[in-house]
Amino acid sequence: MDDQNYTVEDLVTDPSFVRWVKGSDPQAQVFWENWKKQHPEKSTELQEARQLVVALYSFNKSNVAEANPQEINNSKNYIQRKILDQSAKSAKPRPARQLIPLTYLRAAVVTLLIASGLIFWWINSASNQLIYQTGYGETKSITLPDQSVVTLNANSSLRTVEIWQDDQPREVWLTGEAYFEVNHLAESHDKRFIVHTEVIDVQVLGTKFNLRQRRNQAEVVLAEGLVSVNHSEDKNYQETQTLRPGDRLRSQDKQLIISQVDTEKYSSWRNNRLYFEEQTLTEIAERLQDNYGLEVTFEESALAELEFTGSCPTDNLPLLYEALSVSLDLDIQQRDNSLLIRKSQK
Amino acid sequence: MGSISLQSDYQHWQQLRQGSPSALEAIYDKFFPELFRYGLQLVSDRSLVQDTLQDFFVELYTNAAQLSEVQQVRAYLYVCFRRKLLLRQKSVAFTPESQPLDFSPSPEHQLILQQLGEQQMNRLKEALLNLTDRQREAIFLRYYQDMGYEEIAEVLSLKKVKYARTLMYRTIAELRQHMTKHASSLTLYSTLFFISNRNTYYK
Repeated sequence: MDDQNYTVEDLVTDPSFVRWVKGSDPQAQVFWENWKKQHPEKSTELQEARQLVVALYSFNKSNVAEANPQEINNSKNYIQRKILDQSAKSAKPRPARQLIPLTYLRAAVVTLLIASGLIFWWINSASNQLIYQTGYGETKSITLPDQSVVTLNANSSLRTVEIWQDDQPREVWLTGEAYFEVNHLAESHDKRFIVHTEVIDVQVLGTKFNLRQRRNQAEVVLAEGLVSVNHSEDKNYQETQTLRPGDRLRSQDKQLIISQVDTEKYSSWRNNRLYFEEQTLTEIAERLQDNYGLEVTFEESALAELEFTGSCPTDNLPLLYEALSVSLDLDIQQRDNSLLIRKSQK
Repeated sequence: MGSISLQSDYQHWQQLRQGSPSALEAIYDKFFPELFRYGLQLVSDRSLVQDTLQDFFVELYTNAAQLSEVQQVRAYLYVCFRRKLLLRQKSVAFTPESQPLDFSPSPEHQLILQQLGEQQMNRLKEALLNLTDRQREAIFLRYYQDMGYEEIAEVLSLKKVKYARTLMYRTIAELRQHMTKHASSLTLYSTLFFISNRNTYYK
């Protein structure tokens, strides 16, 4: 447009001009400050246009009502609950049966025979269980029938059935620790993916999370997506907790407690790193026992309460011992599968 | 402005179509507040707006597989939400309830408003009331929600982007006309008032 013919309307309807007046765009700022200098004869139009923009913004501002944080949060919870409910019901109903003309009856009978054979084989094989296991210090990556990937940490096992059916939720049973990357399924499937453990059940759509169940305690750390968790005994989902990315849920006695964490650190074992953050030696000892089968003994029970933050490669425990010794002034000795921790003897 | 945010809206949209719950959450976090604000401009019933908006997001997810590929995610959300709200409340008009000015503009804006003067402000308010609902909505979308003409055209179901621009141009011209028309029939007092500010108002 020819600058000379710029009218007030031209200016007011120019998005870049509006951004300049509102001070929301440095680029527009440079352009219009410059324009102002080059067109002193347009200062009246400029002035009026500016007043109009500010006035229009202000009038609207005085009229708007905003959602408050509580409304935003409530609605979010409502939506998440609904989505989980619906996905539970979303398995498509089978198409209604149609009347078959008599002439097709023979073909139908034959088909039926073949089908029943198939169903028999299906049921039979479906009951075949698959069990994946890892030993101490070992991790394993498993691809499930739906292409979801599970990485099993050391000394853990995952159980499932060989064939999964579209109208059934996908179910696996875990003891130990694993990282789940669950595939999202198409509309025609039951979308649920349920991980059962001794303590809790985790219900999932498509998502990534770390689940650890040891010593009658469970911990879920959600990296992506949406999961809901309930106690294994709570079959009616009375006290379901919904997790958002970044949430960590721990089962403590009968309670499920949520806090926010750096999720990367909880699945660092997948990249072969052991990571501890302000954890007591008791917790570290438990970890060593769970993952490596090491029996840890403290010479004085007070030592067990010391806290440590640090990491080491999963295949280099001596480095961890060294870090612990130096930072907490300890002496650590390993003999076969037992570890003795005592105060530095120096 | 906003090329980065546009791109990520688009990416979230693509992920949502594949059923990603975290994409829905990202879209929710970004758009819930502004859609809520928009809804309250259309109807005054706060709980109706909230309920409709909730169901709208749930449906977005449950129908994710049927969602079409859209470039203007924001405008698309406005259009669909507006339609849904319209279905639930038979009469939707863009006549937000007027409230007293209870916000404080930035010092710079305050100064500009002072220069405009109270009388001119009132005249402008009056002029706004004489506009059609559609014009008022366009002004809200443009000057408050910072929408571009492409988005406005889509929200107001205009066939071409340039119609949105024309609508806005005409609206601004009408507002100015209304303001100057009244300015010409002023009492002596306000004439004097305007003379003292004349460089502001007259070319």
